[in-house]
Amino acid sequence: MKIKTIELSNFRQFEKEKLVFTDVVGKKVTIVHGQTHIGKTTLVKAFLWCLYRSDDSFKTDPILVNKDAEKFMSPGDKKTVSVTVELEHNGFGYVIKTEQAFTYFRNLNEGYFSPVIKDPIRHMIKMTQEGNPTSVPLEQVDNEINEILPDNLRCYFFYDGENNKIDDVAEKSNLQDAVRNIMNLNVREELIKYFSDGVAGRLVERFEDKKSTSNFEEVGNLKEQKSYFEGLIETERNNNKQLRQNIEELNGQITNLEDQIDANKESAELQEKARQITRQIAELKKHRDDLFPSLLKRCDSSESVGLAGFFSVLAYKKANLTVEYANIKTNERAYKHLTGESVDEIIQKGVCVCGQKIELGGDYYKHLIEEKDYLSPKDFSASLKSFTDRFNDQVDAVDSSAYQLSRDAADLKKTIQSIESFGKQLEDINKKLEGFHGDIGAWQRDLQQKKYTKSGNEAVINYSESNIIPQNETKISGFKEKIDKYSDASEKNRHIQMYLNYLSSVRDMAQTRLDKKKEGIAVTLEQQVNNLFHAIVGTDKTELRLNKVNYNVEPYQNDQRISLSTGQKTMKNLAFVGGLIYLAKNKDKIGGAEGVDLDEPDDYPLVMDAPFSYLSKGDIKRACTELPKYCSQLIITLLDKDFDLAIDVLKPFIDKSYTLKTNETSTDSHFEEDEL
Amino acid sequence: MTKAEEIDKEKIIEIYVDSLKELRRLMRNGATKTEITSALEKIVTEVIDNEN
Repeated sequence: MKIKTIELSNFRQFEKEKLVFTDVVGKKVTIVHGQTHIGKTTLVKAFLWCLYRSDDSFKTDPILVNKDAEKFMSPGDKKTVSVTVELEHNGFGYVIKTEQAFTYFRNLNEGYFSPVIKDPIRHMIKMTQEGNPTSVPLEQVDNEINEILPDNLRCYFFYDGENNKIDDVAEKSNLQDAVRNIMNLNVREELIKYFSDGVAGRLVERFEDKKSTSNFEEVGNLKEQKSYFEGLIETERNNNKQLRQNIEELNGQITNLEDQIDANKESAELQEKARQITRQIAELKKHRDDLFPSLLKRCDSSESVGLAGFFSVLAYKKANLTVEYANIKTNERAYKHLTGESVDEIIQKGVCVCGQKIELGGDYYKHLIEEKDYLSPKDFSASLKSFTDRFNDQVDAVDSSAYQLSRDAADLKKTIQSIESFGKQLEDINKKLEGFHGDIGAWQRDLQQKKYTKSGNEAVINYSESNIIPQNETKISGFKEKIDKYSDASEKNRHIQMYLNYLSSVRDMAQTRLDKKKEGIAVTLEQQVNNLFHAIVGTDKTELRLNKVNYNVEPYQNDQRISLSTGQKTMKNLAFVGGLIYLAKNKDKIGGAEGVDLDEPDDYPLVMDAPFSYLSKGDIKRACTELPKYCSQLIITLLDKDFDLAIDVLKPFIDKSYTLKTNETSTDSHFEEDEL
Repeated sequence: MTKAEEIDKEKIIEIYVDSLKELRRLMRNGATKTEITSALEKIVTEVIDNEN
């Protein structure tokens, strides 16, 4: 396949533009370069829209009409968007034109024009080898396009470098589909099915049915039962095949997730720490929010165990002390003096408490006797004790409450300080995580879920292959034995048996060749991908190992699986696409030539949208040196900054180079051919 | 099986090659299983029964 021209009409930012691609031997490269957001990606999408009538990115913005053209619309006006691609494939010329009509009407509610969008229509003109144009019927266009470049290969040869899109594709296991399609493995596997015994509705059954029998009715019945169980086995095998594909997809996804988690270990630790802190903050806040109202409640005057209780105790104390003080004042004299019994004792001792000697009839003696007569013993201590006890009871009642209140207040203070401190720690962690948007916890959960699903799928396959299929095979053998007993030894049956023997031989041969082919493909692809990868990276330190089942390539260093940076992933993807192109070009030689035109080499162009976005200057130069060696046609869109780097290396291979520019008087863009 | 009925390796290759080409064509054109089986049956019988 070789792309000759593309013409865009009213398509997005292109009003009417035509690009002619290189057609000179040895000059295989065409470059389109420009600033960002002026139409490089649109150009690449235009190819896909023309060939396949769809592109996922247009789903969210399906109005393809050129914005400037839209400005001058009147109700009822119709605008047609079209892209025309002219290409060559296997000696035939093709002109493919996809167009879509937009009829505008006035939207009364909204007050602006809205288009009625019709489905895109694709026309194809095929030039015969004699050069006569023939129109391909619309219903056959899909088949023709699939002959040229199957839909599921488009992402490899129209490569979205900006998004490293091949990785998304790899997750869906399309690498396997790509290789199977390019190398016709799917056709070979189907052939084996058609020639195998026990596959319902295929060739073997067709011939078996032709055999004559001595008991037509009974054999018919047995065949029906046999066919039923064959159908069950086929369903089981198909399910198992699907499950194996799922497991392969899961393996790829598990590896990617493990890589992703491993590559972000530091962020993971920070995220885990942040999660712990967030949890702690939440717990502390809950504690604060519980504590605070309880403290407030205890300050409420209606609560006896709270501050109101303290004040009540103090008030009691104040009131009673005042009464007691007045009482003491009233009885001041009595309190100052001794009791009558004490006076007797003092007189008996002959010395007063103040140290004066007491003589009978003396002044001091008289004084003491006077006092003794005057005094009546009073139990002030009992009164005082009663007051003290009542006061102490009240103090006891509020004591634990006061202790709790002070402890809670301290706790509240500490809690608020901790929240602030954790908040600061969290802020620091978030600063470190700025720009990192992955959720490693979610990745880890996803990883566990995928591992669980994988082991579930494996268990289902295991049960199916060790129980269900063998049981049904035994039943089928039983039916076959019975059918054979009724088969007569006629000439016709002998002839049919000969057909069956041939079918079996063809199947064995097809299987042997398929195995050889697969082995050859795996070895070649791994070798080519590594050659190109090492050449672009500039070192052979990393080895890319190919999974022979799903064709995923995984990087290893010193026998250890490693993670690749985004730039290295881009180079791995470029190397893989290079490997696919090599396979397509050499399909007749890989895994044993068969002399079948089924394996005639295909030559795919490589159309790359900003493939070098993640590469260093050195990588870009090496990629530009190596890629042209792999493909016969290379169309690259580049940012101006990458173009300046690439041009020196690519110059010998470039036939045409276009600058993409915005128009001075509109938002449209146009191409200007560069002078080389 | 008589000598004349012995498996002919060349015929096996011929059946394999013709079937593979036809199968590829039919698969790309979205043929049904029945259509494919009939087409392959025709190839098998023609190659085997062709004495030349």
